[in-house]
Amino acid sequence: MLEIEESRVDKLTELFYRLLNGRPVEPLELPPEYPDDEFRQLVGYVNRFLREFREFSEGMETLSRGELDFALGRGRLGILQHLKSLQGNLRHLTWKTQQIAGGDFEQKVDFMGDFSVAFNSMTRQLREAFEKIEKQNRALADACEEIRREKEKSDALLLNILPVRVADDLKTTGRTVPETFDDVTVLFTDIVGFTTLSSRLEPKMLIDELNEIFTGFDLIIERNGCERIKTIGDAYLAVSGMNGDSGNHAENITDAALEMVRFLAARNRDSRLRWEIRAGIHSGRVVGGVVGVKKYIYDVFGDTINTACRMEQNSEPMKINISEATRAALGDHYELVPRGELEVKGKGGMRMYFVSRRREDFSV
Amino acid sequence: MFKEEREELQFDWKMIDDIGEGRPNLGPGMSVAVYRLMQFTLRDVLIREYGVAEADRIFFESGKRAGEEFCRHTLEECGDFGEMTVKLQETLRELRIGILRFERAEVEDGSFTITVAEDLDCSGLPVTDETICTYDEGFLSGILGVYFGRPFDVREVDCWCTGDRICRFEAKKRG
Ligand SMILES: [Zn+2]
Repeated sequence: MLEIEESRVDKLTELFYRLLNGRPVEPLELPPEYPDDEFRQLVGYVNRFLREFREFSEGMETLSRGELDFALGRGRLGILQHLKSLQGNLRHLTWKTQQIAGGDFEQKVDFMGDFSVAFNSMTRQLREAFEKIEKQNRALADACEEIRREKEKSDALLLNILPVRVADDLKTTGRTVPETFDDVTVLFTDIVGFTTLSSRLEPKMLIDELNEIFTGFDLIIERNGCERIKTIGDAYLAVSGMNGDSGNHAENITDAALEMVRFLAARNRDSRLRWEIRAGIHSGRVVGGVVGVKKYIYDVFGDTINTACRMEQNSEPMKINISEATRAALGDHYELVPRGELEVKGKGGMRMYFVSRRREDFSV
Repeated sequence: MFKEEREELQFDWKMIDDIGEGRPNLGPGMSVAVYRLMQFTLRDVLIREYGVAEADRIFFESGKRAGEEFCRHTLEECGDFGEMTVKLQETLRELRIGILRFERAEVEDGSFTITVAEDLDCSGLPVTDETICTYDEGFLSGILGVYFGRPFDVREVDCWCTGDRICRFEAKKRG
């Protein structure tokens, strides 16, 4: 019959009382001389339980603070093992979350009951949302590209109609103010006998012909640093010196006019229809600006334009007739044929010259 | 092929792969008990013949060889690490080897904590305070070694047999 002192049983009772009331407890101790009996065995088990329970309790406390990175000791107590599994699962979920946060939507959670279902459905929804956003981004990028292309087209179109400066002004401020150009040179050309010839031709053919000739003129004008202002029927108006680099404006446009005559002469050699132009040039001041609100047209105004027109009217087929002002601007770089003073309506007598060619020692 | 003397290891996946033709009625599956019967009788004899340490080394080396071939055969096309973990997890589940989970992965440092629940080798065995999944240690070492092109040390720190519900492995790139 095992005999135990009452005080030892009391200690055991007190230990469990404290434990059950959430109070700190210390392991029981038996003196070394205490016999190796059933009671010593019981105390051994109680102390082992206390140790594992404390391990569990401390682990639970750490876990409840959201900390996953702690070491749990070994033990066979069921609750300790379950805690360890819980810790492992939470660590795994944390790792999975990091993977998914990094954009890996293939990650799934298995065999974790409700967790798996919720987690995997969250991942699926994230993936769908992500794919939707990506799709929208792609559509947006496509739309931007489309707008950029359209803008390029409209810019090109605007440049076709308007001088660069004016187009830039219109694009940035939405308006332009008329500008005065004190020193420019104006070229007017007209097709000889156009009215007569045009009545004999089919309209389509006529337009094709004009289109081809004026396209040729446009290229020549551009190449010589001048600007085509407009065509009026068979008349062609270009100006040089409006782009700031006005130093050679008279020469530039005279070179262009000579080239236009050569271009037409060459074309006449191979073409069924033969066209000739009269050209007139005058230098002076013009005012340039955009007219119209919906259909922009850049136009130039002033007496210089009228005078250039008079020079053209006083010219002859395939000849370039220039005024005194232009002659002065050209200096002695061209071979000229003086024509004396000719009567101009509303102006009186004006000195005029035909331009034969650029002098070779001043060739460009 | 199978019973030649050898200095170099000769295992090739082709040696085991035609199960469909060979077992038209019974198929590729079998009982875990049979697998364990083989593993633990083999361990038994190896320990008697060569001692515990040598038997463990043989188990680790065979596991490693298996892991290497498994990686080449199954995970070869995986691109980044995330994709590899997904595929590895899926395959081990499909083959019913165990429920593998990553708890921690520091890819740059080559340092990983991996758990296997319901492990083929040990889950349900008597608790003996020993970690016994030496073959798994080798298996993981082989997989990581081939995938990262560097040798890996893998150690089982928790095991069903030490009283835990899952086996936990610490893997670290060598050097
Ligand atoms: Zn294990």
